[in-house]
Amino acid sequence: MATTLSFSSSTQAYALAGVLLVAVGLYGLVAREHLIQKILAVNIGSSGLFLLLVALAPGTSDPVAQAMVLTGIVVTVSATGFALALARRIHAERAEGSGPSWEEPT
Amino acid sequence: MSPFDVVLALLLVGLACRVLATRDLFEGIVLFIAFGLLMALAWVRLQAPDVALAEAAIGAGLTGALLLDALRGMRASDRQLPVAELYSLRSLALLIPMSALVLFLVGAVVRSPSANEEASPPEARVAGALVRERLEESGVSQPVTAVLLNFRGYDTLLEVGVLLLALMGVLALASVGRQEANEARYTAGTSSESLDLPSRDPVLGALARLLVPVMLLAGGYLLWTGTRAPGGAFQAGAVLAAAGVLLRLGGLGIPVRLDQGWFRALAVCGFVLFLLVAFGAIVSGGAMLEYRGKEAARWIVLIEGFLTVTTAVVLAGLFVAAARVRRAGRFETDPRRSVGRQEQE
Repeated sequence: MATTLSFSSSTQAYALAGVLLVAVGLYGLVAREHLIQKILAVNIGSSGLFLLLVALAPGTSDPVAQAMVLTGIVVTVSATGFALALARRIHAERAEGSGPSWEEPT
Repeated sequence: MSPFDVVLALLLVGLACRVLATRDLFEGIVLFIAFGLLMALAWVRLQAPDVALAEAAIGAGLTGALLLDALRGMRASDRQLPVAELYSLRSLALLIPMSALVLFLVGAVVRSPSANEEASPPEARVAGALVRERLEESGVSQPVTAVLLNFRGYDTLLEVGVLLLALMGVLALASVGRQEANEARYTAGTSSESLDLPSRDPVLGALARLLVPVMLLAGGYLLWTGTRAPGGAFQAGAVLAAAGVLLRLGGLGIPVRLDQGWFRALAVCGFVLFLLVAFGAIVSGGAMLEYRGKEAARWIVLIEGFLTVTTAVVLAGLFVAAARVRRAGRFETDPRRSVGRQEQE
């Protein structure tokens, strides 16, 4: 278990940032109530995951990892667009009530 | 490790925390756009220019526009959050499993082969090295494009399918179609809100006049250069979609009816062509999506051209259709449309 903490390559800085972004994204997804913030959190978490993918790929500039991330970015924007449309609909439906519309009507 | 990378990595994490900690959602979204731009810079530092282009155009640009537009449609009271909501006991308790996850992942990063150079596997066994080795068979000279459209064409085919699914989902929510058009005919003139072109900001209009020609040029260039250098269908499509969104916000957009045939035909054309090529390879005796060498180059250029159109139309369509999401049962009315209809009749 005597792995030396080698911070030699600068890609490792981005890999560690990716780890923290995944954690921040997951935390935000669960802890935040507002739907827009949940969507922001998912986007941040997926950015972290992409950083992790590319930074941990062996060698420099691995085309397979980069192509996966490119695909991931397009899928993320598709999911975000659909999620935002759902959020709009939910807000529109609840806008009649008195409470904040991101909460379940009581 | 250069200090620039450390500062950038810290900035990314700090910004992400600020995005989710702010009470004002508008501020949060603007910070998120800044986060996306810094991400693009990080991709450049990681020697991933293709991803950097996509991140800047899609991650920061279009996602930011979608988010801001969604926020605009909400009540003012929904754009601010109470302080109590940000720091509740429940969310603080979440910190414990999250720190465990971080520790676990940090351990994985530190012990990963790419971190310890001497322990890394021989180059030939790595997928990236294989791609470079057999790049000539793909028909293009850019490794990322070779992976996207040849070696891992399945992924890209399904990715376009996901794009279309998202558009279909938003269209279903936006209640466009025959029923709505019929409804609009009866209730025409009762509502003055113009839903087709939401704003006619003169500053944005002037900006659009300046920028859109440059964006069209940039989109065309990204498509043209995609087989040899960073760029390609998705980056080009995203830039073109952004041009469309800018035109619309500046009040110069084409008044699109989302139930029009040509809109839907353009949205699916890339997917349909990709499918035809995929199964055409089977018909001509190969495996699905199998094409090599010179022949491959022709197909890839053709697919990329159509994919650019599909990406642009779907991404712009997501933006346009999302603005029409309303409460159920209340159909939108567009006076101009019903005027057109009466003239037809």
